[in-house]
Amino acid sequence: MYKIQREGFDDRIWGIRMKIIFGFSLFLCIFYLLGQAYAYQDVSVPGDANGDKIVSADELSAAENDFKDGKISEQALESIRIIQSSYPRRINDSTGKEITFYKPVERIAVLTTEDYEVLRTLNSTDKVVAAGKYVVQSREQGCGDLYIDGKNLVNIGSPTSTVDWEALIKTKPDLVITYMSSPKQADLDQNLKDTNITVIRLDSGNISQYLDIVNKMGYLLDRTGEAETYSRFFEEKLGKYLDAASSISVSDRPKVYLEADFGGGQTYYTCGSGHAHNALLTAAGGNNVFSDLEGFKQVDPESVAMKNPDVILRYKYLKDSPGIDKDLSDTSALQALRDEMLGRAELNKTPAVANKKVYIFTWDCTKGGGRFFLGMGYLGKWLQPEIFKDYSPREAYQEYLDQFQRTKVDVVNKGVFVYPEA
Amino acid sequence: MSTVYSKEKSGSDLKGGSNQKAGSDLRIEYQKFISRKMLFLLILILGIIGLAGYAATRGSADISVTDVYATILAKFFPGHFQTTWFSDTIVWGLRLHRILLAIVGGIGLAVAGAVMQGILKNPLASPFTLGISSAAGFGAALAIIMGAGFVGGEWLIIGNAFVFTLLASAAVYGLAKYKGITPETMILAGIAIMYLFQAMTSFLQYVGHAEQVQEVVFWMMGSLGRSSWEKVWMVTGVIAVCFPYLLLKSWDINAMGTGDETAKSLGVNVERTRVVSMMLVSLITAAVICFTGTIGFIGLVSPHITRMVIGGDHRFLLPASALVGAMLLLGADTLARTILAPVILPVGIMTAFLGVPFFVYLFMRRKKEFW
Repeated sequence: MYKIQREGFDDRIWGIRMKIIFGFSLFLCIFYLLGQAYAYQDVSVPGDANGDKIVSADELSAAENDFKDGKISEQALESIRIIQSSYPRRINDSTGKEITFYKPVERIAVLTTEDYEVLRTLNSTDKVVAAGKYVVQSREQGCGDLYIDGKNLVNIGSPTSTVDWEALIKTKPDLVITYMSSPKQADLDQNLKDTNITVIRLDSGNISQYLDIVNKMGYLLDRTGEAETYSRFFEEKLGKYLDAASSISVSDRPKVYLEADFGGGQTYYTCGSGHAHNALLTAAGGNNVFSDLEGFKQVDPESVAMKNPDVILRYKYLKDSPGIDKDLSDTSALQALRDEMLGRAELNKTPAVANKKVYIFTWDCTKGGGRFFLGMGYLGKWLQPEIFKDYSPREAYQEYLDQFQRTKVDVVNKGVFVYPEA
Repeated sequence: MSTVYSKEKSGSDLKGGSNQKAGSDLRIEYQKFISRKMLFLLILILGIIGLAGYAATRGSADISVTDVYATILAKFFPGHFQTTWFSDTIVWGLRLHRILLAIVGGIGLAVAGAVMQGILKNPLASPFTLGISSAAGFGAALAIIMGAGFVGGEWLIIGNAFVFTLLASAAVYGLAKYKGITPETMILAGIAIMYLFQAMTSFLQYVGHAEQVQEVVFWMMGSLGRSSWEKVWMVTGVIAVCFPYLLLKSWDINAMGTGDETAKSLGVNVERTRVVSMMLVSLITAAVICFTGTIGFIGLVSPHITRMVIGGDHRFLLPASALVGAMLLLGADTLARTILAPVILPVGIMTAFLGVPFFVYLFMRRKKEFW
């Protein structure tokens, strides 16, 4: 009796279990199919019938027939025509990776201020849907009104510390633009794995890549005219001076010690080859005394004294003071940094300190267009004063901001970027 | 030192009191025992002097060994030795204070570790496991991130780190006092405080600007590159004030090692010794790490290395750990600044590279448990 009861009970349990398993599997299948459908929708290229992401001539004529039958709109047909005639487009990003675009980029998330400026130069900010915190919170992040036009964009955080992945995915960008090495590739792969977001890494802080990047992005975004205008402007304003500086032989260049001061009381950190600051000072006609080192390193103070630099450059990041929008006379912070350097006993006998060729430059000089028109300009005036004697960093930067960035920031009568002013 | 000696004597009298003959044998053996420890101390002192003498001659500036010593001696016997402005600047202005900071910093951290392990009867106690270093990190981060934009703010950062270190030890003490001061509650309170300060530092780094975060990271990175004569004197002053008291209390710490009850029955004011010692070692740690940043490992391992060699008698353990700490830090720093010259490696990497293999070697050789 007991056994029979028990068997009945077991059967019931078994039945319930089967139902649960079946129901759960069904649930999973539905979600999987939905997910697939959603994903397919994302990759799909308008007019592409066979799923190869490319619109062939046959596919275009099929679309034309659909249009005649009233199945698609004229607008849709037009975009299929564009895709058929000029896509796929391929560009190599700054890491050398070839990236293929099968349809026009409509929505861009840009993590860096440098690339936001490139997009402004290319008149393409209407495509930007999300940006890093330095753009969105321009004032709070110490950038003054430099990126104030981006204040309504979705804030996706900082590429170097924390990216807000959910906010990023929610804005459904076709394209994300970021730095060469941050965020890490593994983080990108992990967080964007189920999306069809294309990521390109651009080295827009690198003078040797910048014009190439502007041209590539111009091609990708159908803004080749703007790219050409910028290239001409750059060449005329700054390029010719840099070309002259680059032709100077190493022996004729001043020996430069560059100290990158990131605070914390740690001194004697310098930038060797492969570091962006080394590229800046070399392009401006200097000879880095630590070019034999790789990257960012702390060096022995004695070795700096032994290298006998002709010029000492100190790069300092200071968030609010000084910077953009500051009064021209507000130089005390930079002056203190210079005095500290001039007061280092071990460097006392170097030509740089003896001749007071010690210069301080700040963060504003090393970001976006400021990096080139201000930063490179000032470095040029300090390192190759003869070549750069007609060049005015502030005026060139102002022209760039007015003409290509369309901002209302005054960098001629305001702002403290370097000390002493060249 | 004289008090220690008299205590030592009364200790040996106590041990050898019952039988005269056995007593004198014991006394001879005890003398041998003591002289072995004294020998160890002597070797360490000579080792440090030798290492400092070597370190003073190493650096990127091409100054010959004789010039280095002439420069050093010229300061003490002006007129007898020839020196140049350059070697004077390099040796006195760059090398010697760094060497001395390594020595006093090593002493401070190792003493702090030895005392904490002793009074808390826990082999894992060290300034870093008790939250003191994370408090210093938080103090510095607060100064860097909230006081952003200030210049010449080095002393503000140092002062803040110092204040928070003392706050952390007061909090550890407060929490422990509330629950009754046992070694376990003190360690638990310390670990809780450590997590709290770490979380607060992470929060500051989260809200901070990327470059400020970098500054915090740079500050916390242990380094002797920020040394100067005034910092050396400050650390030395704090240690000179605190260390004698700890040495006086070493006998009490020994007694506490046998258990709080036993120590109390021997007349030791256990709670007071624990609290005062804790405060003093916090002060020492604060004085060291607010100038050097986080140099872990020395405080934890120097006492263990010493204990493995000369045993757990705090009268010897404290000075010997101090010297082992000094030697480790000086050795590590000398290696860090010469091995890839002119590049200077972070000293924390070197302390671990030097200390861990040595520690493991002693650990493997030791047959019985040392703790």
